[in-house]
Amino acid sequence: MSISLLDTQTNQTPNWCPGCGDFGVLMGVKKALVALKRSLDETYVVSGIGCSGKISHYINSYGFEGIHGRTLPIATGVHFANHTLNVVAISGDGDGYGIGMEHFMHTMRRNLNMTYIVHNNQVYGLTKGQYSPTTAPGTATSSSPYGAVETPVNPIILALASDGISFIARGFAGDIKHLHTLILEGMKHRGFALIDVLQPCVTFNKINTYDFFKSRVYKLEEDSTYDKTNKQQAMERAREWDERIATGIFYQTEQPLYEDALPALHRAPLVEHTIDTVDITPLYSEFM
Amino acid sequence: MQLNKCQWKIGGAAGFGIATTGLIFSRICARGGLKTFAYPEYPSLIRGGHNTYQVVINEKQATSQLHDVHVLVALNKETVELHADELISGSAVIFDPHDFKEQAPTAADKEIVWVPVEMSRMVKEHQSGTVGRNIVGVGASFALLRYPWEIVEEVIRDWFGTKKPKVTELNIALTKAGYDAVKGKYEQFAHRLQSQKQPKKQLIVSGNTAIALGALKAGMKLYAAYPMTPSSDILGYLSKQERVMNIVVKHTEDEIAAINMAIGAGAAGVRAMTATSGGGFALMVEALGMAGIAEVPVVVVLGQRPGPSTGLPTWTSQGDLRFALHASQGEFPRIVLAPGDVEECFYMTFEAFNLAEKYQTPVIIIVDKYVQESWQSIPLFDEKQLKIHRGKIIPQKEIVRENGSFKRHAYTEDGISPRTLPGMQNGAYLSSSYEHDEYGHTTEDEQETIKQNDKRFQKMQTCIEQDAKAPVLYGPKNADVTIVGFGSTKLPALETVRLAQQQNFSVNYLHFVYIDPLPITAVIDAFKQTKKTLCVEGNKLGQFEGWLKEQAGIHMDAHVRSYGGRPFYPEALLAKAKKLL
Repeated sequence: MSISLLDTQTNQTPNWCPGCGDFGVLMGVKKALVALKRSLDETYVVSGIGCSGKISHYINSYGFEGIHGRTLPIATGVHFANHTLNVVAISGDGDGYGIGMEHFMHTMRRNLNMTYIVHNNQVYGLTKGQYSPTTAPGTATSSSPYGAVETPVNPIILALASDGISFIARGFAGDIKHLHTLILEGMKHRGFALIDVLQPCVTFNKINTYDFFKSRVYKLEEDSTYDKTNKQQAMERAREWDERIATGIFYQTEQPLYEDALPALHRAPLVEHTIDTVDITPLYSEFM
Repeated sequence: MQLNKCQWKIGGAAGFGIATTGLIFSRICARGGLKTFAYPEYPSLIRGGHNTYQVVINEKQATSQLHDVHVLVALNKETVELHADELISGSAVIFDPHDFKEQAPTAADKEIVWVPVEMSRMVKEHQSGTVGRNIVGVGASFALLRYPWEIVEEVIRDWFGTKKPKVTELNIALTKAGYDAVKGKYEQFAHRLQSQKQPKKQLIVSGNTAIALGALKAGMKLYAAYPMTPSSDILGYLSKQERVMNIVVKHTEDEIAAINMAIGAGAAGVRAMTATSGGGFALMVEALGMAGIAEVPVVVVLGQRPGPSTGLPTWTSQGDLRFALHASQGEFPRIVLAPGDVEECFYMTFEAFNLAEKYQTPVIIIVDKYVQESWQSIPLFDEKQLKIHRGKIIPQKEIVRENGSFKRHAYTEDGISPRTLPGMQNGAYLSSSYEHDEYGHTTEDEQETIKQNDKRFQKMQTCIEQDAKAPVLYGPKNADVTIVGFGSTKLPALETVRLAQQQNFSVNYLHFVYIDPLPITAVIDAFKQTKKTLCVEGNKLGQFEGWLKEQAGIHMDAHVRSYGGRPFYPEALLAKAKKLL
């Protein structure tokens, strides 16, 4: 089915700050949907709360703007209900790696066939500039005026440490062309796909700016020595930050899906099951 | 002689197989057409601690445990000591002399029929390890009650099945040993059980399994939950049926994930449910409000146990009523149903799914440990009367797209807006936890905010007009005392009404299942017929009494409140009712 970029647009105007990295993520998702060539009515976008959460308003598909941190369980519910949909969960670093961290770890274990995009700008934007789980130590913010103390979360390393997830990538909101291919690959991948997106917050993060990233990012696929099936190598590249920052697919593999173990889904998606003629009388014998 | 009317109790340490034995005992009675109500008590431990299981048997109705125990099977010494108070003159105690080598058992000055059965020796002779004394006790009990051996054997055969014939034969041998040791003796024991001629088929079901069966019958396709007493058995039972019934059962990482998954599935057009207890419900609260504002159907079972916090995990309570009624920030419509017995657990769970989809809002089924884990004999479910109603799901050909979106939250007279399901062409819209306009777009406009709130609450008005049922009166119409209660209060209250009749007192029971929205006019009408009212509930602050006062201006004459984790006993309720006369 042919989809144009215009088709992906809603009548809502994004209310992000001018120059926000979220625009890059939005365009990346839209371009991926165009390239996917599926009816937009078959895509379901779940977002959370935060600047990233607004994104579902700007994509012309079915969607859910849920509560803070719960994008993945909502998306999982949608996926169980209709696993033929293209389910895309979209979070931020606070939403996904802070309050929603538990769901991140457990959803990875399941390798469900859906895509997870995280806007990672290393700051809380919507609540006006507090430090986030991915903020570098020492960074002064409104909730860490003396400098953040904790060791930041490295989502790529966490994902690599989980043996459940089968697609792990990092994109940069300043390179939409590259980002949209990663998102498209993630959507096409049979399994749970994480795309962590480096996404500058132009208002509250004066350190991790477009220039900061532009001078550091490189593409793994342009490095002929890189093997995306080698977890050890992926771990090494994921640790890079100060000198250079890897983008692209860190790791991709084929492994069983959670739904492979759900015979109920094999015949038809749950939503298509007939429910008005369920016969429970065969279950009675256990109670007599 | 006392025919078909007694209470049997078995007690011992956790790990002795008390619950299994109790269930087998109930089933043997029910197979012969007798009615049973079984109530287990156990501490929050895996092994050790004192466990009991008591079964009330009656020819006509059994809905509650009673105080007086007529047959006590003591699997250890402690059981006799702990339950001596419940014995009356004429009661029998089946015990193992092995446990009483130093001193014979006593029960104050009551005349007890002491029935020594060499349970340990029999188990040793049959080389069945340490477990097995329980089943010997069952055999001895039925001989004492003069119940036909054929039914006992038949049920035990069915229970253990044909998979492991050795296990089945061993259990039959042990039961028979107990039966034969007592058969023909103890003529002075007055209680008898007699099987009915051509008994009707019955099920022995707990509230938890009834809820699970009701959900399956309602076409629930996703069950997501995190284990928590007293609701864990729903997860256990449904997991077993996952492949049989073609559903998905997800044991999630926590209760937050559980309810959010159920809501996601609900938004995608699949009937979904979660169940928990107060602590887990506390974690679900934020998502509950999301389902409210986004107008997504979801069914939540809240199984109460005494709080606050961890409280008493394995005991009962009705202390979360106000929590269910007010949980989550802001105001949104919810439907709160309180099934009172095993049959209501089944039918109201079925109903809950229809209501959730019709009104596109959360439905909370509030139950408690008492009804969830008590096992009642009931007639087979009347499945024919049950019809699925999916509410306003709009057919593909009727979908109209305006201003680039489907008008998911359109203003309507009844407050219910048509919905599309993801995947339907031209039906796309966004569900949102933010306040929104008719299209689902975020709004901060004052008038729009008020209108959307009014629209959502209009659904409750519609529910009162079309679905919320009036409270039901059980017993004589114009009784001197009316017991008023909700949920599992029904169980002891119905027994109280019967006890009162036997003693020529006039007591009836007004039972509430539809708690919110409360059909106020019908409630006020119901109270026009009452004389003295006695509100009975399982909490300290009178949450239900306060709710009726607040909503319908009802004032009670007196109340009984229990918050020690134990259910009500009919004898005690009757005594309270008598005081009002």
